[in-house]
Amino acid sequence: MSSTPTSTPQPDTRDLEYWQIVWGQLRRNRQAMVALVFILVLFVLAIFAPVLAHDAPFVYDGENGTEFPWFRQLFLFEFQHDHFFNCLMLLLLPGLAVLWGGWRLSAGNADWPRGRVVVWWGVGFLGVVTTLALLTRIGPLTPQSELERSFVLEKGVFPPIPYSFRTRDADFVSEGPGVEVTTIDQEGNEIILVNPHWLGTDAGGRDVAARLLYGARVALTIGFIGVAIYVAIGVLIGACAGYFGGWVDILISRLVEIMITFPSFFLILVLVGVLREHEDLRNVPKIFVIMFVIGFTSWTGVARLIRGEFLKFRGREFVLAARALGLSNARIILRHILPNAIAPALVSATFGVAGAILTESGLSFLGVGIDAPAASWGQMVKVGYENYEWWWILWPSTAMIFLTVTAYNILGEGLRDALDPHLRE
Amino acid sequence: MWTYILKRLLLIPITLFGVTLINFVVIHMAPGSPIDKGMGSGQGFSPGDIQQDTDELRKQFHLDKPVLFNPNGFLDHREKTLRLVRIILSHDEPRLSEVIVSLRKGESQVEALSQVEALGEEWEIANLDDTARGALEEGGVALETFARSTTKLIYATAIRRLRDLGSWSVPTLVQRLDSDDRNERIVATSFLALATKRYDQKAHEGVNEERLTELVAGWKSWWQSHQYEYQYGWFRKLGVFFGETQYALYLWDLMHLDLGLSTETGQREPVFDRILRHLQVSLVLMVISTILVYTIAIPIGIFSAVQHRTLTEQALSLFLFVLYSLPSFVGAIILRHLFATGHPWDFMPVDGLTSPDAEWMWMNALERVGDYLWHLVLPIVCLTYGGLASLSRYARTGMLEVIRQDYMRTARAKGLSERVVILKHGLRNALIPLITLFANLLPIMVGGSVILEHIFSIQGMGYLSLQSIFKNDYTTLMGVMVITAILVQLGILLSDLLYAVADPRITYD
Repeated sequence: MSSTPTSTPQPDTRDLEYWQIVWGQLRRNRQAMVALVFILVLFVLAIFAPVLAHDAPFVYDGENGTEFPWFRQLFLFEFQHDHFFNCLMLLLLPGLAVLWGGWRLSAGNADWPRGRVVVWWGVGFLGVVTTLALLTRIGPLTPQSELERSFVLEKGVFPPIPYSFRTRDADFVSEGPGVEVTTIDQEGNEIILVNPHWLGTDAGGRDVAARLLYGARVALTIGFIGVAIYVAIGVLIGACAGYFGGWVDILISRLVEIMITFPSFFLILVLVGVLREHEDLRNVPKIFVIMFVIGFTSWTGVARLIRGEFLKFRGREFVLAARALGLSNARIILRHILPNAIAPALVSATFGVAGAILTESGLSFLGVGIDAPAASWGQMVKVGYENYEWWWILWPSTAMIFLTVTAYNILGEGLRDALDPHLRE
Repeated sequence: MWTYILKRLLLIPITLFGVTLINFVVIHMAPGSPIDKGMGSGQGFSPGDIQQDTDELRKQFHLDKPVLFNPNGFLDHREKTLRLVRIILSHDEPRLSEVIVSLRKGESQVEALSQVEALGEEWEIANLDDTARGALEEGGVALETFARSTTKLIYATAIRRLRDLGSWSVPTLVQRLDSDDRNERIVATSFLALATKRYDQKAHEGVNEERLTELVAGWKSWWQSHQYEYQYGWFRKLGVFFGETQYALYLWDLMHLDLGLSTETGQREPVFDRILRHLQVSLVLMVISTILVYTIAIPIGIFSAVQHRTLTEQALSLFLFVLYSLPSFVGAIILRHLFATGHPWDFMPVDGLTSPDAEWMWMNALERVGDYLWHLVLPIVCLTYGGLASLSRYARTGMLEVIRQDYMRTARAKGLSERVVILKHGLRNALIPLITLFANLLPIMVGGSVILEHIFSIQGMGYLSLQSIFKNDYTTLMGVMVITAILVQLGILLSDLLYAVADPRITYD
C-alpha cells in the first residue's frame, strides 16, 4: 500500500510495464470499460447498501436524546457476509481519504516527508474508524416498532429506502409499485395508501429494491471469494503438476480428468444439498457453504491452464538460471514462473465470477441455496417464477443476473483480447 | 483404430472408479440415513414391524457397514466391550442396571416398565452426555420387551451398535463369562447371543441362578468348538478393512451391473429401471438440441466469416453475445413467463411433456405426437440456445482463421467456385475444433438440464437427481452419477473418434 510508482526500481519493473500495456489495451476497448464501470458501480452499491436501504434512521431524536440507531444495528444480526461488507463500508472512505491525502501531500512537497504524512493521516484514520466503531456499539437499542413509528412521524433521518432486506411491511404484502391500498386507520376512517416501496414487495412484505441491493452483496461475495478459493487451489495444483512433472503430473492430471467428467453444476448441487443438512454446518450461513463448495470443485479449469503455462516455461533459460543459482523450488515457482503464467488464469477467473454468480442463483432458484430471509437474486427469481403475477420481482432480479453476468463476460473478453499479443495495436 | 477404442473403453472403468469414489464420499457426508428418514413417515405400522423392517433394510443397503474403511479387525475391542458391560452394570447410572437385573430375574415387568419411563422422562434424550446415552442405549438391549413400546429409538441404536461391533467382541465377552460379578455374567450371555445373532428372547427372560449357570456352561462349550472362527489372521483383517465396507460392496454390485434398489419409501424400485425411465426423456431433449446446436451454429459460423464486418454480421454477433450472456435458466424463465403464463401470451403449454391426462386420453396417435412435439418446443429452445451461442462463436472464429489461410487463396486461384472453396476447403478444417467441443457440451447440458427440467416440470434425469437429493435417496443419486459419468465418457470417446474422421492427419494406430 505504501509503495508508490516513484519507489526504487525493483526487478519486477518489467512486470509493471507489462500490466501497463495490458491496461492500455483494455482502456481502448470501450465495451470492456463500460462493463468495468458497471461492475465498480455494483461494488459501490453493494458496499454501501445499508446507506441506501436500511430500516433504522441515521439520526433519531428519541426520548433519551439523540441516538444513532443505524450504526447501532449494523452488526446486530448473526454473523454473515454482511459484516464483512459493513466493515468495508466503514473503512473504505476514511481509508481512501488517507491514501489520497497522503499521496497528494507527499508528492513534491518537501515540508511533508513521507514518514510524517503516514503518521498524521494514520492518526486521523484511526480516529474516524474508532468513532464509527464506537457508534456501532454504544447507545440504547431502540425497539424496531418505535423506529418504524419515527419514520411515520418524520422524526429521524432515514436512508432513501427506509427498509432493510428483512424488514416486513404488513401493510403491503406482495404489492407492485404504485399500488394503492385501502385500509382503515385508528379512527375508523378509510384511507388510501400508495405503496411506498419503489419496486414493490414480496410475499413477506419485504422491499424488493432493498433486496436487490443486498442481493448484490451475496452475488459479489460468492463470485469473488468462491473464485479466489478455486484460483488459489488451481494455481497451486496446476503449478505443482506442470513444474514437477512425472508421477505428480500423472496423478493430478487423472484427478482433473475425473473431476471434468462430471457436470460441475451437478456436483455442486449434490454437495450443497448434502452439506446444508449436515449437523455441524447447521449454524453456518448457507452462503459460506455455497462459496466453499464452488471453491473446492471448480479448480480444474485453472489447474489445467496453469499446468500448460508451467510446462511451457519450465525449460526456459530464466528458469534454468534460477535453478543454477540454487533457488528453492517454491521461490522459482512463485517468483519466477508464476508472474509469467498467471495471465490466462486471470481471464478464466473473470469468466469464473460470472459462472459462480450463475451457480449461486441456480442453486437458490432450485431451493438448495440461500434461504428466504437472506436476499439473493436467484431466490428472488424463484419467487417470481412461482408467482408469475409478480412481475416486479421477476424482471428486476433476472435483469440484475443478466447484466452482471454480461458485464463479467464482456470484461473477461476484453481482458483476453488485451492479453493477446496478436491483437495488440 | 479398434485397439485404440478398446484401450479407451478399458480406461472408462478406471475413471469410473474415481468418479464413484468421490461421489460416494460426498454423498455419505450427509447425516442420518435414508432408512431413518423413511422410518418417520412409516405410520400405521407397529414399532416392532418397523424395527424389523429397518434392520433388514440396513442390511440390504449395507448401511450397517462403515463407508470406506472397516477398521474393526484392527481395533482392540476388549476395552470397548468392557466399557459397554461396565456401563450397564453401572457405576454411572445405578438405577438402570437395577432395572436390567430385575428384568433378568423375571421380576414384575410392569414395575420395571414404569421405572424405565421415569428414567426416560428424567433424562432428556437430547441432553444426555455420552456415557449416560451409552448406558441408556445398551440398557435398551435388555429392555427389549418394553423398548418397542417405550424407547424404540434407543432400542434400535443399541441393537445396531452391538451388531456393528459384531463378532469382533465375542472373545472379550467370553472372558467375561468367568466374572465374579453375577450381573456381569448375565449381560455377557445376552450380549454373546446378540453378537452371534442367536438371540432368543425366551432363553433370556427371567434368568435365575440355575438357568444362568446353564447358560454360561452352554456358551463355554460353544466357545470350545467355535473359537477358531473368531480368531482372524492379518490377511482376513485386511480383507475386512477394505472389503466389508459400503463402498466395496457397492462396487461389487456395480460390477454385476446392479445399481441397487431405490431407498425411497414405498417405492423400492430398481434404480436402473428408474434411471432408464427418466433417461429416455432427457435423451430425447439432449439429442434433438445437440443436433439443432450443430446444424444452426455451423451455418452461422460460415455466414459470419463470409460476411465479416458487415452490418448484418455485427447485429448477428451482438445477438449471439446477448444469448451467450443470458443464462439458460433465466432465459427459460423469461420464455415461460412470456409465452406460457398469460403475461402477455399463453399459447404455449406450461408443464410437462404431454397435455393433462384428461385431454391426452382422447387423442389419437397423430394428435399425441403433435402434442408431444408442441410441449418439446420451449424446453428445446432453451436447451439449444445456450450451446448455440457459445458454439457459433467458436465456429465463427474457426472459420475466420481458416479463411485467411494460404490454401484458401490457392483454391480460389485454381478457379474453384466460392461455394466449393468455403464449404469444401474451409469448413472441413474449421469443423475440427467444433468436434472436440462436443465433449465439453455434454456435461454442461446434463448439468444445465437440472434447472431447465425443474422449470418446465419435465421428469428427466435432472428431475430425478433433484428429487433424490431432497429425499436422501443415496442409491438413486449414485446411480444417476454413475450413468452420467458413463455417458460423458462415451461422449468424449465419440468426439475423439469423430476428430479422426474429420481430420485425416489424425490416426489412432
